[in-house]
Amino acid sequence: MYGRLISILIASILCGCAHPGAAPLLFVSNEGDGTVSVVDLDDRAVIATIEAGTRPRGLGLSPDGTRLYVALGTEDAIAVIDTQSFEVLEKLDAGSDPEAFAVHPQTGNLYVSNEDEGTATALDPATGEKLAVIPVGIEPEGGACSPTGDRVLVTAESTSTLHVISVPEHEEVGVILVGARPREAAFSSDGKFAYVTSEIASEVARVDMTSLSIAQKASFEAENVKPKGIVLLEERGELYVTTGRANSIEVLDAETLEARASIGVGRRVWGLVAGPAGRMLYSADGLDNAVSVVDIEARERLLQIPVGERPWGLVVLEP
Amino acid sequence: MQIALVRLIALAFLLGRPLSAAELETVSIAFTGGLNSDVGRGVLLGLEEANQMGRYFGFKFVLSENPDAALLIAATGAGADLAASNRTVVSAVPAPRGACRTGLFHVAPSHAMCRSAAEQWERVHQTDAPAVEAWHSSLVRFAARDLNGRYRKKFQAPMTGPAWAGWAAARSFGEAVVRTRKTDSAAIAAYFLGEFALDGQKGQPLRFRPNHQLRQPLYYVSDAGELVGEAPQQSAQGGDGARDPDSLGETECTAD
Repeated sequence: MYGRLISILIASILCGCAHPGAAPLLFVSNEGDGTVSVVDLDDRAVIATIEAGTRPRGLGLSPDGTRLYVALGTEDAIAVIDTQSFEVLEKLDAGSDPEAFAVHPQTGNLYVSNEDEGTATALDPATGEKLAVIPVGIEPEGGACSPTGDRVLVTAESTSTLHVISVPEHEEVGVILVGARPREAAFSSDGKFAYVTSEIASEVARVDMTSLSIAQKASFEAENVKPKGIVLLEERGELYVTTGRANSIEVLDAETLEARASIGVGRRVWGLVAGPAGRMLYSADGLDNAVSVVDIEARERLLQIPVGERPWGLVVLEP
Repeated sequence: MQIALVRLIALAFLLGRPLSAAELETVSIAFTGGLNSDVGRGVLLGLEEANQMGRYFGFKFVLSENPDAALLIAATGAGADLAASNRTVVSAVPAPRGACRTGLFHVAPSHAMCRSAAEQWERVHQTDAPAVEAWHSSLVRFAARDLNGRYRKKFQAPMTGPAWAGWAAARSFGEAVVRTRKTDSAAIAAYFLGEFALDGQKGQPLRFRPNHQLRQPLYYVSDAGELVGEAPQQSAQGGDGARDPDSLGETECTAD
């Protein structure tokens, strides 16, 4: 424990700041070529390309921002990357076929979905120790930790289930039936609500985390809308959802789920993340090998930044 | 974009937790075929998965030999003869002509769908069409890789079209029972023609047409057994738009 603290202190002293330019950074996993692109968000340009491993998808940052975690599905591992040197420090055994994961906001533990085993693994990234293996539904994918840290959500795609796991007990305290093929989940800041995208049902559900029931849901009528990525910006009272081959970001009222706008982005858009101060959205346009930069206020895509092959996940590191 | 907004206020909420065996309602599903067949293996995997879903919401699905079971999976072309007013049948083999009956649903592609797929291939490629199947063991996209992996892990064999149809039949019953919380044949049949959409791991929701045939993409398989394409053929419909699975076969209860 002390060793870890000291190494963090030393790293802080040596580097002095998060990275040379102190600009916010966007990390993008590229499923097709095994890399992570590092984008300087001030310059909107790729400043580094990290060879992460085979089939990188889910991304996450340690609570202190010093480590980037990358799920490597076909390596059964989570890569640990230094966010200053961009070096791959180690690869943690994450159980079979990790696709996506959530980082606990206080403990920094990872909750990893093991897609072909039907389990979620709680993993301490400092020691590599598996703290718990929790059975869930078929094809678990997205994960989210509540901001208060007492709940973890795991979506299971082929059973259309949202699994609610208590922390630190690591017990399943509820299972909610949602639309077919649930993908990602996001919490409100008070932890009272969670939002879930369902790809095949083409819907978004707002789940009351107290009663563990669906409070509202919204269905998209166009057949090709496949909701996947999800971002909640409470200061705007809005929810943003990527739609796969419908090539758009749908903007919904965060309380009523009523449609507010649709913003065209690139082809087969999956991952989505908000930038600093919630001014911009960044989407992973899988078939364009690019990231779209979207001005939220203007409801407009400003540009695309070329990244690696088949970008999938995104995370922003603020200085 | 149009959004249909549904407020669920007074519904019995679908909150689940793993229930003990004694708390589960047993749902019997009869199967007319042999389990040592591709369709039978698909049914076994589908039932296992339906149970992984059902256990959270109070249902346990079991295979029954009771010929009077309200829910039945047919593995022979005689599925039409099994249709009865107090029973809902899902057929996992292609429908013969005129098999458009109340209470009878088809998850395997009809001969008319396979003919349309062959015609589209011939129009686009100017060659004789390869075989047309409902599934192929090398499919990867839309989580087909996952389903193929689960089948291979359980049976050490590749998942074929008939195996997929057996799996889809069992999952269809599982989906309908869990979502409606009903087990009677009339409620299940009504749901199949209403809200029902199967996640068949083919990248789109699969629904029954008015003629009770499941609309779905199909796959072209070469003589050597390799996957060589998907129907509907995109260029057969022109442009880069969404492929319309209703371009395959009939949709209404007439000539199919």
